[in-house]
Order: sequence, then C-alpha cells, then structure tokens
Amino acid sequence: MDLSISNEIDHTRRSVLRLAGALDLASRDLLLAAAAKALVAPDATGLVLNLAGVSFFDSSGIGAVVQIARNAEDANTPFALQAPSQRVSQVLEISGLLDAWPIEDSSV
Amino acid sequence: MGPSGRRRRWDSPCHPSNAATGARIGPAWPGLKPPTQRAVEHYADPVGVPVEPCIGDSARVAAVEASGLLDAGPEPAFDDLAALASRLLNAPFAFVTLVDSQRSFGTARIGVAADGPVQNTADESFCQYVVNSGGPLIVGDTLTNPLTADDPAIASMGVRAWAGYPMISEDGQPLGSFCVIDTQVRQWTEIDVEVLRVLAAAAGREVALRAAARQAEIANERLTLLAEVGQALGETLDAEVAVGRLARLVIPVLGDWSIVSLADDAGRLTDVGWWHAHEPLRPVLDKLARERLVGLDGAGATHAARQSRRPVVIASGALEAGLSVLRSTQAQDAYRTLAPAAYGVWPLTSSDAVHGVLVIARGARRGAFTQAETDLAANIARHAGVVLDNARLYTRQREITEALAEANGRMRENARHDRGVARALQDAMLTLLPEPDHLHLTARYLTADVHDQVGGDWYDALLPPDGATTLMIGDVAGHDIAAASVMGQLRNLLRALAWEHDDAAPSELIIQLDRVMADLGISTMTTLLVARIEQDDADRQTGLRTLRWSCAGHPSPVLIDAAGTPTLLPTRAGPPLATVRSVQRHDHTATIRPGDTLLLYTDGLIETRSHELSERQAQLLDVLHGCRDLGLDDMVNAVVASMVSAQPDDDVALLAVRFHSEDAPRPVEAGQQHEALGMPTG
Repeated sequence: MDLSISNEIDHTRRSVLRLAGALDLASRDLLLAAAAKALVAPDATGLVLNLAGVSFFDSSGIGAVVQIARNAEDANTPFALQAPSQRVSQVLEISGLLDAWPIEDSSV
Repeated sequence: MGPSGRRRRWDSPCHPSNAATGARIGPAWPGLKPPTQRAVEHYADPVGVPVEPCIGDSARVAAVEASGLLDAGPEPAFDDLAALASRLLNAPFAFVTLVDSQRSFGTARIGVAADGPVQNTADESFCQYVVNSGGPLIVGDTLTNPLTADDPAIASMGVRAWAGYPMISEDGQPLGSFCVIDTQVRQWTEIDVEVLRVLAAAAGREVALRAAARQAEIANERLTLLAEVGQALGETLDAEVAVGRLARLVIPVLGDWSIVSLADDAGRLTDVGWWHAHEPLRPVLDKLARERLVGLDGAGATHAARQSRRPVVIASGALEAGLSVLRSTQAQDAYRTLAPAAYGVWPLTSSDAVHGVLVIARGARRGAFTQAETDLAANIARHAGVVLDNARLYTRQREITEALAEANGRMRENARHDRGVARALQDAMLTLLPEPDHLHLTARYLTADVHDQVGGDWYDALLPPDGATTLMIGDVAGHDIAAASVMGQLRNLLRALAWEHDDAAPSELIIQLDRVMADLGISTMTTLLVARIEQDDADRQTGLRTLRWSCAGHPSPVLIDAAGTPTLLPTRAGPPLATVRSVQRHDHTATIRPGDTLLLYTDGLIETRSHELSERQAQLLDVLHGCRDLGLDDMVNAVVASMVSAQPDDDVALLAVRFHSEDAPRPVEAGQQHEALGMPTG
C-alpha cells in the first residue's frame, strides 16, 4: 500500500497536498519532500494536508505531520489539516494532537 | 506534599540557602533519610596521601581510553548534564572530566570559553583526588582544607569551593570526575551533594553507553567485512582476481595497508592485490609490491607463515624486522616510508595446501592486533584459501560448500553477538524497579524483531523525597542508537526533575521536560506518561491512594479493580514532547483501592497495521478480563503472550503496579522490599 500525493492550489492560493494511501515509515520521506517543495513555492499563502484518503496512519505518520508543521511555522506559513479520516482522527486524539493545528472539513 | 503546594520554577536560581526547600515532609517509610539543607564537607583522606593511588593503574587507563571520549570533541549529553549541574547548584563552573595517567581531559566544560584549554595535568587538577579515592570530594573552602590547600588550581583558576563525584565504570573503575566549582567559599548542602551524585551517575552511564556503542560499531564493521568477503569470493569465477580484491576489503577495518600474494605451481609468490588506506601512500605501496619479492627466499614472516601454515604476527619492531629481510633497496626505501609498527602474515590455507599469503600492516596509531582481529583475518585467509583450492581442484565442490556454510554460521553468530550488544546497551538504561510499601512493581521490555535495532522506549519508577511513588513511561521516535541515546538523556533529565521538584504535578514535570528539551535543542518527538501514586493523611485513614497522572501523546493507562474488571482510565492526552510550543497540559486523578492494578504501556502493545487502535485497546481489556485470578507477573506475561507477536514490529514496554492492602503484611509474591532504591545509582 503506497502513498500518492497530489498538489493543488485552493481558492485562497494555499497549497493543498491531497494524500491517498498509507502514511507510515515507508512513505514519510515522500511526504516530507512534497511538503518541502510546497513550502518554497512562490506566492503560496498556506500549506494544507488533506487526509481524507489516508487509509493507514501510525506514529511515523504523526512524526511526519509534526515535522511539516514545524517547517511551516519556521517559514511563517499557515498550516492546517483537512478532512482527516476516522482512523487519522483517532490516532491524532490518542496522540494529544487533535487541538494542535486547525482542522478543516473538505468543503472549505 | 500535593501538587497544589509550593512550586519552584525550573529557571529560578536554586541557591542552597532557599529556605523553602527545607520544608519537605519526610517519607513514610523508615530507613531512607531525605537530603536536607544541612551543610556538608567530605573528603576521603584528610592527610592528603591516598592509601592506594590508582591514577596510573593500567586497567583503569584502558577503561578511560575505551570510552573514546579522550581528545574527542564536546558531546551534547555531557554538556547537558554539566550545564544542569551548574544550573541546579548555582555554580559558575561545571566539568565532566576523564583522567588518564597524565592529565584531566574536560569532555564538558561549563563556564570556560569554548576555545579555552581542554585539559590540565592530573596533579594540578582536583579530579586526581576523586579518581584516587574512588569517592566524592566536597570542599567548601579549598584554602582551609588540608588536602587541597596547596593545590596550584586555587591560584590558576580561582578554585575556592569544589564538589565532585567520580564517574565509575561498569566494572568499578573511576574514570574521571563530575564536578562543580565556585570561585567563592560555599557551604555545599546535602541536596547539592545528592544532585551531584545523581548527575555523576547519569554521566557514568553515558560513558558506558559510549563504550557499548563503540563496541557495537566495531562488531558491526567486522560483520560487514565478513559479508563483503563472502560476496567478493562468491561472485566471480576467477578465484585469483577475487582473492586479490581482499587486500582492498580488509582495509581499514584490520589495518592501514595490505598485500595479497599467491603462489604459482612452483611455489613462487606473486603479489596480486594491494591497497593502502591513505591515497598519497598508494604509489609507495605499488613500489613495495613490485620489488619486495625480489631475492626474498627462505626468510621473514611470509616464509615462516607458509612453512608453518599458521599466522605470524610481528607485534612490535615491524620496521626493523621487515628491513632485515628485504633485499631490494627500492623496496627498503618504500618500506621505510610506509613505516609499519606491526604486521601480520596469514597463510591462505586449504586442507592440504598453502595457496598464498595475506599481509596486513598498521602504523603506530592503530595499536597491536587484538585476538578478535587476528581471528577475523585468519577466517578470511582460510575462506580465501578454500576458494582458491576449489578453483584449482574443482572436484572438491563439497568441501567449499561446507566451508561456506561454516562461514555463514560464523556470520550468523556475529549477527547475534551484535544484536546482543545493542540489547545490553538498552538494558543498561532500564532501571531496577524500587519496591515501596505494599506496592508490587513489575515491567517488561521487548525489542522490535529487526536486526540491529534498539528502541527508544523506556520505563522508570522512583521514590522522590516526599514519599510518593513516581512512575514514568515514554517512547522516543526512532529505533536506532541515536533514539536510544536521546531516550537515555530524557530519562536522566526526567529523573532529576522528578527528584528535585518532588511537589510538582505530573503535568508540570512534562512541561518542564519539554522546556528543557527545547533549551537543549532535543527535537525528537517523544510520548510520555508521568503518574504519581500519592497518599495523604485522609487516604491513609481509609487505606486508599490517589493516582495523579498526565499524558503527552501516550496511550491511556488501564486500571484493573480487585474483582478483575479492567477500565481504560479516561485521559485527555496533550501533544507529545517536542511537537507543539506552549500548550496546556492536564492532570487527572483516580482513587486507588487495595487490590487494584495499574498497567502502563507504550504504543507498540496496541499499534498494528491491521487494526484500529480502539479495537486493539478493546482487545487489551478483553485479555485483562481473562486474567482476573492471576498474580501480577502472570498477568503481565499473559498480556505479552496475547497482544505481542513473536516478531514485534515495534518496541513494547509495560510497567504494572499492584496495590496491596496495608492491613496485611506484604505478600510473598511482591518480592523483597528495597526501600533504599529511591534513586538507584546504576
């Protein structure tokens, strides 16, 4: 089970990384690279991870999201999560990170 | 003292005259005296002549060198501990030193400019006293103390007060000192001394960690070499070409330069491969390889090794020994430039022939060949001999198969050994659990079943001075030696915090640890649960206890009542450490009744690829439900057996506490009570 990442720009000119598949130790570097690229994109106003399609999410996934949020903060770029699946929400809750970042539903 | 009592901020000065810290309530059990603000002065030998000075002891000096820290750069772990000592004791200088026979080398030097001197001579350093005595030296006024009054460091560094503990190796050797220095006369308090002792013990464990890591690295290097040799000898049909490549493979693991020579049918040697670790010297080695066999017959180590079919190692005087044998002046010139201090010749033997030799040489800096190194070279040479034999007499196919099987067995043996070292390293970090009144503690630790991995999980328990029991369980992200090292640091920092701030709520300890991590630049995501088992006077009347806990991204604890019914304690988890700046953290409380059991665990117990966490938590409760009649150890074993696969993907740590009734005597199954283990010195 791999992770696929598509990059879009939403109507407020934020970079939205739409993730589908497993976010784990094997795919975290892929996501970190995609997020690093999105962060240096000119005139992007924010970075959003859309997690609706994430079917597997473990502590390595948490580590990757924390790292990306830190990098976004260092780059002064607003960061948010979008439409986490139930599995993702559960892991975020157990990890105490449900309130750490803004969470939007996908209609935003 | 409850968490609502006085709290001292982590960053406030901890001057010993702070009267508030004297107001501790003594522990409820006898035998363990809490440290006080009473001034102390201690030195091993008032006359100043140690009974048996051990500073020059060769086993001690060897242990110091094995740490790999002499003449090495600064290491954050030691800087952190020294900085913590300087901060907690409010002293301008703090040092972690390693003392060999001549000098005291400062691995950490707080209060001294980064480009300042890194060492002084042993006889002008105060560290000599703690190394020689093997015990602490606590001097409030260096000028009035007969042991130190004439020490030159008083004038050169302005040392007016000195307090230090020796760092003791695992086998009891004093390796150096962990000390703080003040430029003014001080009254060191018992708390100062206790903090220093604990931090010195932590520093000692860090040294042990370095030594074990180095050992693991060396074992790994050798294992890799054997694997590469097996591959090189197996992958080409031309055995002589393959064997020639060995010269390059064995460098630098076994020496600075190497030559492989093969014998032709008439027994004459030809060099077929050579390699030097340092590129500029390769042309010199080329010259030696071309010329060295000229006129060389019936003399020297090469001849002796071929005749005897056994390795010949010239452990010292290699330069003279070689020059006396070489006939070609060009070879002699090249040999002088290469200047080996030691070399060995390993015959490439098969069952009935010597097919050539493997020569490995090294300069003075590499030291002598160890037994393990000569054994490894002999294995490689035998393996090469067998391959050559096979190539020349291919009818002996079966023999080579057996030899390869044997080599594989050795590689597997080495792999097991390597993993053993990693485990030993981990074990060194895990605490012997204290056994306070009527509490039975037990723990399990299972490492992920992946070669070379060590975990970042840890558990810990200590009895701080206020009489509570503090439980800690955490998980540093990652599975390598770096994660294990961060785990060691955090574990030590948290112990120091929990001991020093014995009135702090668990959430405060987590906040402080998070702040210290940020200060020290430790950015590895870590989950942590801290719990305190408290008993106030009202509780004591009723035989109840209070569990107070706080959680940083860690799985919730489970409480099993006396009837055997398990409940997941509702916990509002805060974020893991080193993830989010300035967060609110929450404490929770639960009432504990006699017969209850508390289970803390890391996520390895419940995280799997195939199940949701909530399903696995429900499964854990089911398993616990079935353990209602079991003793604590049997219960924990049953949980491990049901929840953890034979080859776990992640480390698993479990810490369980059973609360026995205080009306009855301590049950036999709870084992022996070790009251004095509040702060094990490791």
